[in-house]
Amino acid sequence: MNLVVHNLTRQFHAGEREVTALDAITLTIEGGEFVAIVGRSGSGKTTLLNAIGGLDTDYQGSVTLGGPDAPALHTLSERELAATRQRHLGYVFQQFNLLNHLSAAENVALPSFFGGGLSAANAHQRALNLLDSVGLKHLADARPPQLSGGQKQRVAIARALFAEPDILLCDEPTGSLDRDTGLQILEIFERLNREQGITVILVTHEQHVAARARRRVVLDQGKLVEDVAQTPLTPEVA
Amino acid sequence: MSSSTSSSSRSRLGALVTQSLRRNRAHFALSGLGVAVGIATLFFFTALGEGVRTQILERVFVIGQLEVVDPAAEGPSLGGLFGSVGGLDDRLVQRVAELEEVEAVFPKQKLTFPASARGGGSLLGRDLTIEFIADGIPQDLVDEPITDPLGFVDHANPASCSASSPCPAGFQCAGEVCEPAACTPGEDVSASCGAQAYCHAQRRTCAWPIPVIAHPNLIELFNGSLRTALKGSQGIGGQLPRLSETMLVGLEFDLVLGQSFLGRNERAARQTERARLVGFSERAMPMGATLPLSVVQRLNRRYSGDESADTYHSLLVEARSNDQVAPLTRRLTEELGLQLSARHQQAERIGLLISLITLLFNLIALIILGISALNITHTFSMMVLERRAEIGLMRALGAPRRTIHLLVLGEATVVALLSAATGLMLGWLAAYGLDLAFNSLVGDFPFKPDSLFGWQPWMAALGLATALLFCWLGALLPARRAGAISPAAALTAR
Ligand SMILES: Nc1ncnc2c1ncn2[C@@H]1O[C@H](COP(=O)(O)OP(=O)(O)OP(=O)(O)O)[C@@H](O)[C@H]1O
Ligand SMILES: [Mg+2]
Repeated sequence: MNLVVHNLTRQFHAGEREVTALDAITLTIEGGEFVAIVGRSGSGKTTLLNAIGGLDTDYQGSVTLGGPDAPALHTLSERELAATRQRHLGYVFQQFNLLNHLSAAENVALPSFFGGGLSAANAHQRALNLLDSVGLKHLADARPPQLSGGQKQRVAIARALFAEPDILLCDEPTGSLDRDTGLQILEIFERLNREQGITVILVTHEQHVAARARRRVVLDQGKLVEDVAQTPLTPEVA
Repeated sequence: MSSSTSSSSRSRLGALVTQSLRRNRAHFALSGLGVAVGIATLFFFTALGEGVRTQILERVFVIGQLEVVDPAAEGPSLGGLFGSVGGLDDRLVQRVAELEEVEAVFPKQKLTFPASARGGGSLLGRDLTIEFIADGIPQDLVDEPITDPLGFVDHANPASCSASSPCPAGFQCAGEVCEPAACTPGEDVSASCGAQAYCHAQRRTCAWPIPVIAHPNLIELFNGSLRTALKGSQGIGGQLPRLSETMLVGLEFDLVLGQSFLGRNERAARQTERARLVGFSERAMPMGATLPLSVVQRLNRRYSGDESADTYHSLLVEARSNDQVAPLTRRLTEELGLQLSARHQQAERIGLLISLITLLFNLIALIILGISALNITHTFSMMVLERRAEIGLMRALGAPRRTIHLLVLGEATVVALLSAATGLMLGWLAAYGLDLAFNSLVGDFPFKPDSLFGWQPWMAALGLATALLFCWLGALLPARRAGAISPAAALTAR
């Protein structure tokens, strides 16, 4: 599934000030790519990810998901947009965003409440399988406060994978983790990209994380200043 | 999306609501408390109003029936649309009976001459003579079973006879009319006069006791007030026994007709007749005795003349249904120029007063509920704000705005159901407590009911509906706020 960003400009009004968070960004990401978006703090990375992920449509320009005939996200109704998010997009956040009152498995199955038509039992089974695939089957009943940072992020990834997304959007997924744990998380992304062809778009400010992507997009003050293909740095196999 | 899909996700939404309720138990309990108190208040006072209304209006006064009197007899009249009626006679009874709203008409007539009653020695230890105040009602107006073998029947009503149709037992055929047969006092007359008759000492003819019924409230009045007031006093008042219906039925006493403490009839000679209390009926006069109408008419004819025997004092008009009472009232008063009896006017006023008081307290309940709704708005808004990141996350994971609305309204629905149940229970407990206190602290008085409350199934439904209404009203704004949370909040909220 292709992603086309065309002439995207996003402005925020902070009182008197007007901040241009994104400035005429044009970008095409094809299905199966592994892209790192880098840039200094405040350069507009999160803003771009929100636009790509259909979490925010209050911009000029367009974001299109799918073929050339597909409608731009901002032209969709609120319901259609929600359904698009549910079916095609998965999100992984720096702060994990797990619900503390739910078990790991329940967190993973959360998307089943909003579509897909799975029964509770089927949703639970699927959650267990996904936890298994990120190596956390034994912690299915644990609640987030009982988990380490790396474990939390794996639960979050399992949740992002629940509805079999085409594109995985990750905002600083390793930002709250130590280096080794971060690398393990990265390996999961690489495996998903390699084995299932899921497009991975990953925002980071860590150079060694960005180096693992096959394409690097650099933002600076809302502008796209660099967009290069790169040979991913293969990790030393443990 | 298939229908099975949407129904499955709807039931899953229920699970989401349950989870959130379990997590925020304290908040929800607090916001539901006010609603519960409001519902309890509403339930309590509605039931109290209903109870008091039923007790007063349906026990003391009878609803669905109107008693009308001739205004000319009670005061100045303006006359009806069709001119003033010429007194309450059989013609008027006929006219009223033909009205479409009318089920039945029962004329009543009072005794119009002085009379007194003497007896009661077997119960009180000494005979008592009291003024005899009575009216006559049609026999078929009495719905209560009359167990006394005499029955509420006018036995001495002379019938016509001929060679082919002889007179009943105790009568002989004189020309074409049946007349009481002659007998000898002191002898056993059951063979010649029939089982219920006796031999009248002065007339030396078969005679039948006059059947009398009384209002059950009289017993209450006696047991509740009179007995209590006279307790310990000197004379027979001091040792009055507690009376019951079974003790009194069958009691015989003498009626002295044509003379009483208050006066003496000039028209006919004083005469003594035997009377027997045959039963109790709500239809009887509240303060006095009630005889079969034909007996009263016959006696009035003898002591007061034909005119008073042919004129009724009031008509009891039964409506076809309760909702016909209002149009019937209008018909009777405006078209026929009749007047509601004082008792019914009073009933109308008391009914209005009870309605107003109930309304006032229900208004207070509504104010409590209104405040509770505001409280729910506040609490739910706070919870929505606290769950900003969570709601944003749900939106990011594909929840449309509607699902978020339903989530918050679902929470409000559960709060409503629980607080309605709690409120109904609280209201019922309070009522139970009041009844208990009322029964143990307040002494016996006439018409004292077992419960002050009138419970109706619709009150529970009303409580539930009201709780839902106010909870939903309160949750409306927070639900909108929750729906307005951007999915981007999942990424930015920390
Ligand atoms: N909701 C908002 N309201 C006002 N200004 C905003 C909002 N979101 C972002 N901005 C501004 O837009 C610019 C880009 O913000 P953004 O969060 O995209 O940066 P970023 O590259 O993700 O930074 P970081 O690496 O710190 O996460 C910043 O100047 C920020 O202050
Ligand atoms: Mg950011």
